[in-house]
Amino acid sequence: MTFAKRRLRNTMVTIGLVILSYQWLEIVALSLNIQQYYSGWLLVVLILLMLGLNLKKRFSQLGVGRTAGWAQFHYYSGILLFAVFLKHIEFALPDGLVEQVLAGLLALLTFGGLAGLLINRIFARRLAYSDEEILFERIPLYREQLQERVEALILEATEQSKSSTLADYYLLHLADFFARPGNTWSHLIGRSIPVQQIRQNLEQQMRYLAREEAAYALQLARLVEQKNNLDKHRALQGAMKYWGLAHLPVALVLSVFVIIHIVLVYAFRGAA
Amino acid sequence: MPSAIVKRPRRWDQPFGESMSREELGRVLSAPHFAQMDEDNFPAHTSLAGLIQNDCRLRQFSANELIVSAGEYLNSAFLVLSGQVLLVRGASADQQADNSITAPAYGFWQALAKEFNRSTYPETREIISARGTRQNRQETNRVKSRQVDIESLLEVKGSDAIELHTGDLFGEAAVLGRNELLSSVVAINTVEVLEIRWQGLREFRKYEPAFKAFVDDLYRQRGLYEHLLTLPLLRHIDRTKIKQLAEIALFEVHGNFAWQKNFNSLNRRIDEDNYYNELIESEPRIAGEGDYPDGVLLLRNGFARISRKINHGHYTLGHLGAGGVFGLREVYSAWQQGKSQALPCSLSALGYTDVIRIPSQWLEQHVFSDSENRLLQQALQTALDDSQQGGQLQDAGVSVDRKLIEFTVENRYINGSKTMMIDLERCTRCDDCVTACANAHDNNPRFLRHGPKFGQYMVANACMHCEDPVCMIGCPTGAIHRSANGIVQINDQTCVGCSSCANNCPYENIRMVPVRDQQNQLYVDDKAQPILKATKCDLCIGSSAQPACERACPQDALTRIDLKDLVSLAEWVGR
Repeated sequence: MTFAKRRLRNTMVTIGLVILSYQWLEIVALSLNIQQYYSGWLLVVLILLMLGLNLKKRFSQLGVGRTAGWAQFHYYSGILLFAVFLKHIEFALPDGLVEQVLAGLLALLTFGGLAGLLINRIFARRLAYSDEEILFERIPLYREQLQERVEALILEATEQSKSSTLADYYLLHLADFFARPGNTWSHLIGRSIPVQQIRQNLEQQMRYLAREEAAYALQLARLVEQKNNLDKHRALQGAMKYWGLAHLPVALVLSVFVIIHIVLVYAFRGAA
Repeated sequence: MPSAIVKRPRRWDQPFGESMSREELGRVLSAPHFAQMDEDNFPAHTSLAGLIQNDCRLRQFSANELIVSAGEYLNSAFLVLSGQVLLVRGASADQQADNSITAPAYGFWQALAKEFNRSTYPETREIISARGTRQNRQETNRVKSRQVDIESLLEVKGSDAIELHTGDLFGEAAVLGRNELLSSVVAINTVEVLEIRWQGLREFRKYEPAFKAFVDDLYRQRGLYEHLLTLPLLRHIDRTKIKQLAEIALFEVHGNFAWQKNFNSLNRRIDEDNYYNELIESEPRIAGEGDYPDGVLLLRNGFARISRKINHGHYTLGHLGAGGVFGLREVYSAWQQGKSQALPCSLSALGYTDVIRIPSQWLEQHVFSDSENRLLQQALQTALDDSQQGGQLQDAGVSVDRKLIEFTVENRYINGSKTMMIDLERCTRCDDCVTACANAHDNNPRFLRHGPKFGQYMVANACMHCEDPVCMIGCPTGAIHRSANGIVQINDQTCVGCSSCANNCPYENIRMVPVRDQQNQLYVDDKAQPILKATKCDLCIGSSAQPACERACPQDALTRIDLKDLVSLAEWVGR
């Protein structure tokens, strides 16, 4: 099955389930029952099922289906959950503090999840065609190695050309760039202006270099590209990795608030 | 780091089977072929008796018991010592017999228990050698009896049987060619066979020229006839004519049995401008573009590249694998039009390739003259147009970038049957695949999420479970072997850490790792050198979630795929 067909199927099923659950909750309300009890427990069930994705990841050796299937279930259940939640609060902001926090966390989790999905799709695509695939954990090591190479190159250029123009330029404009990760926001928003500026400045510097230094400047330009690629991988891979790490704690905090909410609801049910 | 001093594992720490008694050894030494062997031809460290005792084992089979089944992969050849066996060509006995060779997957609760009982440290081993233990021997001997009905085997359409007696050898073609067995072998009465594992067969051939000549001759003669029987094009031809054909057809071997050495040295020059053209030109030419064919070429083993010269370079159109046909269309057109037809492209061996050349005259007489022959028409339709693969894709209504096909052939990924391919447009670099693999294997992943790229696709450094696993060639103990169903595995206890497999793997998919005990102490030998073990992907055999990498990917970005199957590839990339 193609991804487009799968997306269409899952969307249709989710829409169907949203309609079905709304109809059911309407019937519950018409039967003079409080639909919030029913929709509330439905939300609890959905939250528990969605936590299943994390358990599946933790216990990867259990033969309980493919994680991709669980992930699809997680995404579409999230949409269903948010729709049921809107019905649960009757499309109005709750008035209690705990309930407001709960609503805020759920909205954060839902929109954060959607944003994460978008981040994954967009950033993965932007990294797919880069010259080299770089392992995230090795980026600091590669950056250090690159810095050593560039410093060795500058020293060699100075010795061979008996000129310090390139070295001065490096110390003034490029040492910082090679010393630490940079341009994170530019890479995240897909802006290439900072590296273009470095390229342009280096080109403009060429006229001031000794003849022997020019060849080294071209090598330096190639190292700039490599550093830029490292920064790009660091920024985009980091966003994809750390977004997932932020999503889970919010979900766990939400679970705690859900428990508090249930206890409060049942403690004060006579007041309803 | 604290270390535990142990004796370094060596070849023959553990014999292949139960230890042979003096009487049994004497019996084998007086058996056909062995009786003619000269002990002086063998060096002291690999004596004839040592080879028999350590690389061979005696096995007994009762009447109707299946010894090996067509379609299985073998690591041993078999010599009949007593009794009779029936070699049935073209019929798999697997359906009849309960195939007990595949390891059973453990269940949910066992998997859960394993999750909680995982060691804290990577690559821990309770024991590092099979020396003095019965574990390995029991494992290799654990082959359940498989009973079959000989009569129903013979009823299978296209099957053909011969009886083998004392002194006959079987399984040699599958072992030497590193390919699937084409025949099933069943015991007719009580039979004793000597199972000679590949390492022993290699040494016997190396030190005993007469035995080598016998095995090689058998490999060519029997292999040629068996292969001709499997060809759809010749299915309607009577067996006596096929036997005649086997006598006149030429059996050619192109390339080097240990092809990986040349490939590895060329691979080191991958960044050079003319690398690909030099690589193609270095491949042994089977048939050249513009040549006039004198017969049709059938690939029996290995792979061959179909390429065409364009300006100053070579363009790869596709590849042929075992069973592939080359030159049929040209020979047929030449016969129809009475005028020779030149080959539109070249065929060159990718590594090691066995080719059978069927003379045009025989085809004209027995195949072409029958114009109603549907099999011929089908074969002509699927025969080389641009490449045979093009036809497959057209039939399935899918397409794939030709450059991607070229990439898979250039890098010889067509050799793999379970290549790990990652779609980088979907991969979020979460490393869930790596973590799942590490969880399944001693806290150390058996692959690297890194490797050559073509556009958005990456072929990761994971064992591809090759059809021609050249990694097995140099293994001194048989630790790296292929299971009957084609999975290349390493027996950790018999691995002596020689690195031969890791050095031979053309794709750098085997890694040597230092091993440690449960207290995180490195095992070292008396010279303080760490004890190494070869590790690689085993497709999580035995696990209920296999392969863990593919099942753990939340983005559907990773697959284990046979890159020869272009339809599956096209469907996967076209998702």
